Amino acid sequence: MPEFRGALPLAPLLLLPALAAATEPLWFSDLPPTAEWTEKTLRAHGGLVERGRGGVSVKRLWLRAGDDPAHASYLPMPAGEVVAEGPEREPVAPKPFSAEAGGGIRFEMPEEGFYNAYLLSREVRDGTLETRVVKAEVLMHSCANGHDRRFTEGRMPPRVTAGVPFELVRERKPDEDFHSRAASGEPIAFLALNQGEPVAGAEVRLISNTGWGKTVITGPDGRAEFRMVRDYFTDWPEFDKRRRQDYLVLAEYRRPLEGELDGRPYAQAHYSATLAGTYYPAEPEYQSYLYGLGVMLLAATLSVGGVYHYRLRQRRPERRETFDEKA
Amino acid sequence: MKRLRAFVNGVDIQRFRTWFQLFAFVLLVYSGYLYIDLGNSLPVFACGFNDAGRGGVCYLLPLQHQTHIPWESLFSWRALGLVTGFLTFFAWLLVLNKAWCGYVCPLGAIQDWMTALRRRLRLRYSVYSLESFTRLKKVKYILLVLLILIPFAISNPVEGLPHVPEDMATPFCTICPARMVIPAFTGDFSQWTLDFSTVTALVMTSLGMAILGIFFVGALVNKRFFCFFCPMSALQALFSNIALLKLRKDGDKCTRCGDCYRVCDMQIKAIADDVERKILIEDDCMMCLKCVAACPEEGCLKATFMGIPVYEATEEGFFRRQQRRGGE
Ligand code: SF4
Ligand code: SF4
Ligand code: SF4
Repeated sequence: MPEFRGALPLAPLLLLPALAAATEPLWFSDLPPTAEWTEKTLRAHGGLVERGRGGVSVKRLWLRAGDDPAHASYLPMPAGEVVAEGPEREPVAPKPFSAEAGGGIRFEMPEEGFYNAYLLSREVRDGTLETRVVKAEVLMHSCANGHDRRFTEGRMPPRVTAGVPFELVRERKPDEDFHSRAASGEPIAFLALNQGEPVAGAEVRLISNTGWGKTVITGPDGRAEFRMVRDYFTDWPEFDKRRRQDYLVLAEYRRPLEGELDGRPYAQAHYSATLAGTYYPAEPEYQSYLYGLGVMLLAATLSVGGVYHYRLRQRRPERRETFDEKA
Repeated sequence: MKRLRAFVNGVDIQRFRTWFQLFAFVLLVYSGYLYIDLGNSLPVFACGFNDAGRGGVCYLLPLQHQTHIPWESLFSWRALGLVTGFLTFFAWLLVLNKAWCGYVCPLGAIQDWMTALRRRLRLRYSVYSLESFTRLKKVKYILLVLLILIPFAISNPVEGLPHVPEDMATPFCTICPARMVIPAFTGDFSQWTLDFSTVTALVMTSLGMAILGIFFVGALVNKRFFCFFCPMSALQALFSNIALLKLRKDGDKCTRCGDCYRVCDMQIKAIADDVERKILIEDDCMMCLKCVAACPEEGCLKATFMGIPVYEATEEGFFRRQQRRGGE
C-alpha cells in the first residue's frame, strides 16, 4: 500500500488532497488483480476489455501504486476528479468502482479510437502546489468495424485534454495503426505537455516490467525517447510471442508559480504525471527471413526436380483424353 | 445496336482481359494509397496482409475471424458480422460470378503473367491427366471446410479432445501464397518469414513458405496452377448458379470440335463435351470467356447478364479474331 500523508484511511472525503500527497506513483492498469476478475475480460486490440450491455466494449482500469509494474499493489479508488474523453473529444463519464481486491474506474467505449482517462488532484504542501495526473490512454478497436485507413489515420494522433495541467502523451510511429504494439528493442517516445505546450526540463522515467528503468530530461520540444528494453528471456518451449509486459512512465517538473489554493499560499508548483502501457516481444526475436527463404527455395528446387523428372518419363505430355464421340 | 453487338462479339477478349486484369490489379493492390476501400468481403485474393496498398480485402480473412466464435454467440449480436460479411460477399459475387477470378483476382493475374513469362522463355507447359484433375479439384473444398472449422474449433474446445492451438486461428491465410506474394508488390516482405515461437506456428509458416516455392514453379509450368486448389473458387462455386452473369451453351449448335476445351486454361472438358446443360459454369471455371471467343458456331456459347447476351460466339467474330491473330 502506498503511504498517504494526511487522513486518507479515516476520512474518505479528504482523499483528493491526500492523493496528491501519496509518495508512491499511482497509475492506471487494465490488468485485473485476481484470476476471478481476469475471467471476466476478453483480449482485444488495445488490451483487456469486458463486454457491456448491447455488446459494447467496456474498459475497467485499476488504480495501482508503486514504480514496479510487475508487482505494484492495487488500491481502492480514492475520491478525486475523474475526467475522460472519447476519440472525438466527446466527454465520457467513467464510473468509479471498488472491489475487495482494488478499485478504479470503468467506462464504455462505443467508438473506435483512443480514449483518455485521468484522475486529477491538487494540494498545497510546504508552500508548493502539488499537482498529480494519473492518465490512461486506451485504444478501442474491433476488426469487425473494418479497417478504413482514412478513418484510422484520422483517429491515430494523440490528443491532450483541455484543463489537464500536465500530461504524458505517447508519440505515434509514422506507420502506426490500430494493430500496432510497442515491442522490445524498438524506440518509443513520449511528450511531456502542459496544457498542450511542450515542457522543457521535465524528468521522464520509463520502467519496464522487470524493473529496468531509464531517465531522460526533455528538451525544448518536451520529448523523451527510449529504446524499450528486451527483458523477456525464457527457454524456447516456454516462449510466448503474445506475452504482455507492462511499462510505466513517470514524469515530473517544477516551476515557480505564485498563488493560493483553498487559502493556502504557494510559491512554486510541482507537477507529476504517470502513463502506463504494454509491450511485447519483437518479431525479429522469433521470426526468421533466412529460414523462410531457405524453405521456399528448397520447395521450389524440389518442384523443379519433380517436373523435370516427370517430363523425362513422359516423352509425350500432350493431353490424352479423347472426347466421347458416341455420346 | 446490331453494329454494337457485332463489335463487342468481335473483340479480342484475351487482350481486353489482360488490360482489365491490370486495372483491377492496380485497384486492389495499390489504391489503398489513395484511400480507396472496397470493403473486406471481396470474392478474390485482394490480400488483407497488404496493409499499405490494399484497395479492399479478400473475404476469406474476415471469414476465418468471424468463424472464430463460441457456439452460443452464433445466436447473438456477434454473429451479425458473420451474416453481413457473407451477404456482402454474396452481393459482389452475384454481379460478376466467377468472372471475379478471370478478370479481377490479383493472384489470378499474377499466374497469367507467369504463363506469359513461360511462353517468352519457350518452356513447355504441363497439364493434369483426367484422373489427377478429378482428384485434385476436391482439395479446394477440403481447404474451404477446414478454414471454417478450425477457427470454430478453437473457440469451441471439446472436453477430452486436444485443443486446437491459437496459432491456427487463420489457418488458410498462413499457407496462402498470396500472403507473401501480394504485399511484395508494395515492397513489403514481412510475411516471408518462419515463425519459431511455437511448434504449430513453425509448421504452419514452413508450410506457407514451401507452398510459395511450389506456387512459383507450379504457376510457371501449369496455367492457373493455384486456382485448382483455391478455396475461394470453391466458395464461389457453391453460389455460381444463382449469380447474374452466366455462361450458356446451346448444345444443338455444338459440333464438338473441341476448340473451346483446347483454349481453356482450367482444363474444363465439359465445355466441349456437355451438350445437355444450358448453363455451363463448372466449379473451376473462371469465366474468362476464352471458350466463347474460340467457338466458331453462331450463338453456341454465350455469356449473359440477367439473361441478356453480353458476349457471344459468332462466325464473324471468330474469323475477325483469326485474321487478327494471323496478321500478328
Ligand atoms: S492470405 Fe490469402 S486468404 Fe488470407 S487474406 Fe490474403 S489472400 Fe486472402
Ligand atoms: S481461384 Fe484463382 S483467381 Fe479465383 S480467387 Fe482463387 S486465386 Fe484468385
Ligand atoms: S470454360 Fe471457358 S470461361 Fe470457363 S475457364 Fe474455361 S475457357 Fe474460361
